[in-house]
Amino acid sequence: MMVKRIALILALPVVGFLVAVLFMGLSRKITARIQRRYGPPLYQPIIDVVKLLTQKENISHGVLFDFGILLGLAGALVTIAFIPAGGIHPLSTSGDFLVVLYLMLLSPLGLALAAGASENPNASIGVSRKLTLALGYEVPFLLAALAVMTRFGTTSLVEIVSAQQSSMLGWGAAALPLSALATFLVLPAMLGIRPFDFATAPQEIASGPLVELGGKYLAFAAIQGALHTYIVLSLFVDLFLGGGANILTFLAKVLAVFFVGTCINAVLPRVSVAQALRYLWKWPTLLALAGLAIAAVMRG
Amino acid sequence: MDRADIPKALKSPANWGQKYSLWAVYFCTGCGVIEIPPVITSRWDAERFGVLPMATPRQANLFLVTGYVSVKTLGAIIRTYDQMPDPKYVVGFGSCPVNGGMYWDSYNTIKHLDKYIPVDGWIAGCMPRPEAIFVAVVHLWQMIDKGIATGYKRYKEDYEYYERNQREVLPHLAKFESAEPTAARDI
Amino acid sequence: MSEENLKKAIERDLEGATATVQNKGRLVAAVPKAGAVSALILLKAHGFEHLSAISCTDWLEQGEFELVYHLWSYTDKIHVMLKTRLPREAPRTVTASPVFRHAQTYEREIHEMYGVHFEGNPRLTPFLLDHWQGPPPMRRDFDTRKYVQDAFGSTPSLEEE
Repeated sequence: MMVKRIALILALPVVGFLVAVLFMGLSRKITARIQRRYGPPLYQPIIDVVKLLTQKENISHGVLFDFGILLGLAGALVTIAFIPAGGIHPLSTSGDFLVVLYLMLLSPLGLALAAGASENPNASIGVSRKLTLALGYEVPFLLAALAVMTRFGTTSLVEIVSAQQSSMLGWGAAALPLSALATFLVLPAMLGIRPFDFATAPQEIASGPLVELGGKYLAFAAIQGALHTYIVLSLFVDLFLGGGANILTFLAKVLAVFFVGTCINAVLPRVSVAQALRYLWKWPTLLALAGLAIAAVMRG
Repeated sequence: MDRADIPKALKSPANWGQKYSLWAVYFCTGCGVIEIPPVITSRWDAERFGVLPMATPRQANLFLVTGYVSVKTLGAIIRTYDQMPDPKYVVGFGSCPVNGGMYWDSYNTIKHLDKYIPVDGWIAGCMPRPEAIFVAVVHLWQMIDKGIATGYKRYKEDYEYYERNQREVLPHLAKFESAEPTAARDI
Repeated sequence: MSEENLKKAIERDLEGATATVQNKGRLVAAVPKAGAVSALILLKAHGFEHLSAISCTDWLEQGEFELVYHLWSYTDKIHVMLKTRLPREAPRTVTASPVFRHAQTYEREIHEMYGVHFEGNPRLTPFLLDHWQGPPPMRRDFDTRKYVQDAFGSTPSLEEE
């Protein structure tokens, strides 16, 4: 019924938010343990967000600045409502995969709008780096997405997920190994973690788009970043790792992919923009192209 | 945080947040900064205290003035301190901000940092060891709990005093060229 | 060439120069003020291609500044300290930057700290001090403690408490 539907629509962003907060703390703890030190407690992001929200001074740079931050946060929350999480998919229709692919761009663009409104050249450099990186990973990712849509013959995420439920051999990774490998290779770029975190490099460009964000703006930007991580991870799990029969198996798979991503982030250094583009447009793109060709042949 | 701290956190979540998440602006003021990288890396892990280095003053609420402050550096320190949002804490690190330290008779370093920006705490040493820095962080926590880490309020209330001292040493600072003082903002 | 040969060459070719061999690989040469740059050219031609530093000493009692050019030869492994004296009243001399381009920076620092003017140095602008109004601070008749008292207000010392 309507009430149940609305409850589910609201529940998904809440689940995403809680998982995102947990992941923020978990990533700092895992990184610390890999670096052979203790690290902050798991609830440290909560302390950080409380501190940022209770700051007495929040320096704004105008209406566009405020609006950009809100747009980023709202865009992320709306996108989560469309991605099925285990058994919860209140807003599923045909074509919702394309909707998700469009909505995924809303939150980084909101942050870019805020960064442009803050009159700081570091922010502009960070935004241009971020958009260049997006250009880099969108090519192989869209090719892999096309391969998935061709192979399963649908543009609805729920049908893609349910088509993989038969067994582990029905997973997207087993049906489209090349596309899955290509997406896994560009996953760090989509998440914005090392080796592709040059968009918010603290040492080079003073945190890039986040340079003028303080107080509650930074809190919202941090939450938006964590939500974006959740969006990318859940999309990867839905497309290639079989979604989840219920929410618990789904979250377990998301956690597993997140753990691998955190380990990569803790160990690898940062590459430059040219190196990143050269990498992203070479092997992942070729693999995705080959996967798309194979999927088209198998379909036709 | 142990169970005894939970009522304190519930009574004042703002204090709890400010305490356990002190983000230090990574401005390497003087030679004292040589002790900061060991503190923030694996051996003496500062992240378990919640202390992280931040690249920009807009995101930071702790300013560690490490080492001697030459007149040129003081201009940059004042600019950085003015950009940080409230509430902000300044810790004078090493003996040079305290009384000039090794450079007590130098023509080019200031002798007492508290005359130019408000300082909440001092760490003696040349340079202080990482253990001393952690003792200072814990003291700052206690000061925040008691509500006496009010350097930023002093700056707003006694701004004429600080501005007079700043003008004495740095008459050409950019913020004095415009008519109104830019440090006291109301938002 | 050896230190003895270099000493003979300096005393022969430079007017008014005296050289002493201090130790193996160390030579001290003193030239009158007008002969400093020609001494540098001569030494550079003899293989002393590294000017490490130019330092200045304030001989307050004798009323002179002493400029010391530290030169090093990679081939002979000899360090030459080339010394000239300038009067303290109006200290002016010719720049060494046509011979060694980086001498420009050392001369800029000596100009700021001692007040020595180097003719021909294109960049005698303020260097390390920030909007400095007082006398050149490294001169020995500059009272540092009085200046600190006036400019910064000093903190009480241990004896006063």
